[in-house]
Amino acid sequence: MIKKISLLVIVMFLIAGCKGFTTEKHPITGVDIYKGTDALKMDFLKNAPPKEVFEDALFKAAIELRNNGAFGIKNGYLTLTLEEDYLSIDEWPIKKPLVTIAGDGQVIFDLEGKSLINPEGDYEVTEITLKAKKMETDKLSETHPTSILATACYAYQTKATETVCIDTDANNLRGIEKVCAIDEKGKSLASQGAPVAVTNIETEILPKDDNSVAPYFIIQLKNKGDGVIIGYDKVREACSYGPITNEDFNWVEVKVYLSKSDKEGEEGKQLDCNPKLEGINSGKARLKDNKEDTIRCVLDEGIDKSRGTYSTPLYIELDYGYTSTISEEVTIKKILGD
Amino acid sequence: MKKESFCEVNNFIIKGDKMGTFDEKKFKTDLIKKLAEEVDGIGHTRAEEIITHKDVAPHLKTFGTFDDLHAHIQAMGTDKFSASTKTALDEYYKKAVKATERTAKKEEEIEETEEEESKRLSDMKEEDLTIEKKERLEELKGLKQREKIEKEESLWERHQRLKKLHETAHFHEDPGERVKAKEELDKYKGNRFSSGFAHIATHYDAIKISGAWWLLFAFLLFLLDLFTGFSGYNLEFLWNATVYEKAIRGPIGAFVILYLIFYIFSWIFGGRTNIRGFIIRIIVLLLFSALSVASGNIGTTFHLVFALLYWQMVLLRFNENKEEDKASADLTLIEVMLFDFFIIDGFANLTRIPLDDRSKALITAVSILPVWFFYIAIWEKRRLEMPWWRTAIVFITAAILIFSVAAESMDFVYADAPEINRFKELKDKAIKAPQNAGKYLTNQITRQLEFATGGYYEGQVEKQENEPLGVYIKDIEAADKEFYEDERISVWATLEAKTLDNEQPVNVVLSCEAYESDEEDDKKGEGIEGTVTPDYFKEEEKNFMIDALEEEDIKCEFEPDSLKEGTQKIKIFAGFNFLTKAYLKTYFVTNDRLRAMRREEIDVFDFYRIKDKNPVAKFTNGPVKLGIETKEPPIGISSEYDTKPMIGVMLDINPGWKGKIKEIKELILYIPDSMELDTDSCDPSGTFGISDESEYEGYSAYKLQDWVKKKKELIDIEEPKSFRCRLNIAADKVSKVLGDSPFATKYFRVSADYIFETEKSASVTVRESKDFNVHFSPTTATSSEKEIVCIGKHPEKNIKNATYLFYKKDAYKDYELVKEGTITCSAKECKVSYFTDSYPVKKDDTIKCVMEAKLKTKDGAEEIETDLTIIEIKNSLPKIEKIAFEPEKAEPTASLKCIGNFSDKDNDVVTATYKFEEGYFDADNAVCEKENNMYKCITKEIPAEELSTGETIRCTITPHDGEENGIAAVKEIVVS
Repeated sequence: MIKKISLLVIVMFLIAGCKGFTTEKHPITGVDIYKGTDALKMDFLKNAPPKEVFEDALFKAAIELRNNGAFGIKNGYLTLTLEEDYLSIDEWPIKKPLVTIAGDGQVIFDLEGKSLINPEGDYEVTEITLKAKKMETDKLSETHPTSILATACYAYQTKATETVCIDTDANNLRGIEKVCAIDEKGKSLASQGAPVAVTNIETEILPKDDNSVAPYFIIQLKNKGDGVIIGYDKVREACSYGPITNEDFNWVEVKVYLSKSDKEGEEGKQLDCNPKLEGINSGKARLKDNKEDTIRCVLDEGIDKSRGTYSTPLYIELDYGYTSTISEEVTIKKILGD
Repeated sequence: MKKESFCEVNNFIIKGDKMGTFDEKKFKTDLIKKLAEEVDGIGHTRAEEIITHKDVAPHLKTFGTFDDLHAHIQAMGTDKFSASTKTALDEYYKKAVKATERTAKKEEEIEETEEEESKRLSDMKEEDLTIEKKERLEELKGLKQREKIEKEESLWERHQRLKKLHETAHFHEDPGERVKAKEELDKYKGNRFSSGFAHIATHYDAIKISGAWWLLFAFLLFLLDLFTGFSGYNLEFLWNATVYEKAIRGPIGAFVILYLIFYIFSWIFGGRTNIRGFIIRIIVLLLFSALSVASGNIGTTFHLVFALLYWQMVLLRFNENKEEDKASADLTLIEVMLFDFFIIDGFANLTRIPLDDRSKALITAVSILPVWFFYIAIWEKRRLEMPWWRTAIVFITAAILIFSVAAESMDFVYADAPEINRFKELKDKAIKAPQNAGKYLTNQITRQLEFATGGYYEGQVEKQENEPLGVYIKDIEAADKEFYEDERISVWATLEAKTLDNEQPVNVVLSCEAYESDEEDDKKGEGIEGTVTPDYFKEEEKNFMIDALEEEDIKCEFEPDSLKEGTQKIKIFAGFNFLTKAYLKTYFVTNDRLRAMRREEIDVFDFYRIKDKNPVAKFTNGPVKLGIETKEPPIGISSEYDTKPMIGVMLDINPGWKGKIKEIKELILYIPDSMELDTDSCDPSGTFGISDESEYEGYSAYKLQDWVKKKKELIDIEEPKSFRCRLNIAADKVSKVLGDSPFATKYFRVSADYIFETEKSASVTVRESKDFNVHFSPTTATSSEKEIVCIGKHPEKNIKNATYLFYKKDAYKDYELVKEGTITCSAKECKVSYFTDSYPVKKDDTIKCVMEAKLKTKDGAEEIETDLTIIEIKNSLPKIEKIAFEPEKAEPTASLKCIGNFSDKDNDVVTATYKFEEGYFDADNAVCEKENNMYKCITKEIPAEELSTGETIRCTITPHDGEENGIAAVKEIVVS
């Protein structure tokens, strides 16, 4: 019986656990701007557009744009796609964050990312006045559902800095105590305030010659956002009907520096990455399968063994374009008795 | 050896000397088991060898007891079996013989002793009998009585007696009676078959009663479905996460948690729980209540409750002894529920027959839905053996199903069945049901073929408030239950109409015809024509015009004597012009983007947040279903080359409507002006042609060409007809299609203006008239008629002779006597002819026949009765005299024309229309000239350059006399 009652108590706890009695505690720390997997967060404002509108009437649609990432968006494209039989743009005022009109139903916008002085990132709302056309085409339909699509395309960047251990005496021939050790599993990272994240860095030290070693890094990347990666040079095409191929999707330029951090002016040694972007040292990661990829970077010039074992920052910079779409359905109602 | 019935072995209920219904496989298995138990050392394998032996198996059913089986084996010889089986059998028979001898001896001794004791006690004097001795004497008498009864009663009677004893022992109000019955039953102890038999019989009987109720409940569940509209679910529904969320978060979730707590408490304090049953309950509750909550259909809850009750109260109860049986009960529950909930959609998906909502609901609700009903009636038959009325219910339900399937093709369900002869009509439907079911299937197969060949373009009825649209004939019923031949026969109906466009009125042309009910496939024009009123536009080819929503009472009348005695089917036809519009939404994206995204495994629709991934054409309600289809969206277009995706349009009769599309007046395809229709790509080329007028801004209109509309296959359309062409999206128009957007939504629109003819029928009974009655034969006559016969008849009395008078009247004069005389009659009928050669008639003349008959009554007296009948001479159709090509030999070097010569009995002016088909297409009015009472109608010439050697040219000329079309004349010629 005691066993059964104990089990009952456990089950009661489990049931209670469904809802939980815990209270959330927020840690009192500084804001880490390099945290999170969002970049641009787009949403239609509630009731803008409204769920139902009458034909031959104007109504407002408002899109809130929030840069939740740590990188500023410059010259991002925002395209509004409407069913032209039923809707048209009446007015789209160009005011912050919009910069200019790029085409029919297409605008350019800028939006600052999170920073120490702006820890929330820029938040703006753009308002569009739309017109529901007269439903002359549908003689007998009393309602017609139509979709409003908003597609954003912009260039973005991920910056990750992690301290790595450079062990020039991998076989421990010197027999002295080392200041750091290489973790065989590598170092896991969660996010860096951008949709494409560096998720793991594995360090290996390759012997180069008798006097030097070449540090070798296996870097794992993942698209953790809900959009699609495009080449940073195809941002405009992604938001219009411009030519685009599969090679333009899901690739990221990877630049890796040793002994460099994200501080301005700090020069480091750029690593040679593979697969490589043509003509330059930067790597090219293809995040197609399961939205992730691995890239290998090596410091070809090597490090003198005499330098001993030391810790140093590894700085990774990812450049890419990013695109995502939101949609909202509006039902156009016919004015009866016409 | 025990003398058991084979049926007892198998636990079957014995009815008289015959076995009840049995499962042969189980019967054999039980026999093998029993034999293995009976015969020491024989084992299961050898027993199986015996039972399945070719010389034994066929005789099993004929054996009454195991003795018979063993006698048969001994007679055929044990040598026929394997050595080990033979040894086992021989040993068993040896032992059995000895045992039988011993038992017989012992029984004889016992019997003698009891006999002697009984005799001795009976012979004793009353005063010498002690209480014990008296009781012993009574016992012996009872024993004898029971033996006597057992010897005389049949197995069935014994079963009934033991069953009754069993019931008394357990349920009788009087404890004394219960004790007595128990004592009596105790005497059967040791005879496990007798007592077990009684127990099983009682148990089975209880189940039998509840089984009958369950069947009734299942039937009620089926009826409820017709009201709740429960029609099962799509399997995909199961994977929809929101369904579970709704279910688990809702009251069901609370119920599950409460049940969980209750279960744990009962486990701790009650002691007896069933983990497996609990898990099953939870799964079933979660799964199906999710459906119930998410769908919001109360019918789902009914089905769920029924299933759980049946599982708990029958399946588990019946299988309460064995664990594997319980598992089987759970499995049964899940299987039947899966069928019950998902079979319909599975069926619809399997056949890929595009069903509209109403057909689906009908098929679902009536023909396949009663899963539980059929399961209980068929699969549970043995367990829940039920009385005769179970079979009756099954038959009635089966009949309803046949009616329903038949109704799909006969529009029976939606018809307001006429009050009169309803039963007869039902009977007729029942007789024709298989035939109609066949028709329905053929129809579906035709659609399936059209679908398979890519020509069936799907469409859905546009949802709108003021449905339905079209012209409906409703509430058709005869003015009386029965009519006499010499009475005017009237059938009433209500015509209801709702037009699509108030600015485009609907012209309704009404007609009605009578057919003898046993006629197969009665077609318009083959019956006896009646007159329909009202006819507000006598001079025009329409009865009335409808502007918006209107209702009109219409009457179809038949002249006295025009319909023969018997059951007549009267059909009212309503032809009307109607407009159906349809649109199809589709998506466009550049080809390179589409390809790139597919290669990168990015779903275009998911990326652009498109929910309606495969839009179906929507059409306005009405008699015609208008479908449109294009290449599967999104359609990829290119700025480097022209893209030519396919577009198809299909016309079909909208399910629920009965009738045909008489003619397509206009079929217009509207294409967004950023693209065009490649008219040369249509099949045949040039089916559609561009039109200057477009109803919609931003669209180009393409009309179905006149020569196509006049094609034979587009007249009287009853089966789906499709048209297929290619679009042409020029490379330089990509920016116009997409704008500055990577993705665009466009619409294709179709408008069809056509004449539809719908029909509705009612049956009337026509009886022979009671009195002397006169009528004409034929009942309708034209000016071409050579002879019109006036017939006088009496249903009962013989007619000696009759005098007759023929009067004639034209539009300008009153009746004039034209012929008179006396005729002798044969028995009950007199006939006299009116020859039009002698007394010419023309259209609109009226002939009256008055007949005075001398009748002989049964007592020999003479009576005179008079009656008259009138016939109006109708228009004669223009008649083809000759059709020929000119020149007679067609050659590519000379132009060709077609000439038709027509005559008209009424001297009406004849005009004609013509059409050329096969090798050359053209249609227009012919030029007609009168030459010697004949009209010579000449077609336009076919230019010589249009003629190619080997081609066949078909010429059809249809004459018209100002009132009606005559029979078309057709001539073919091969260009040589």
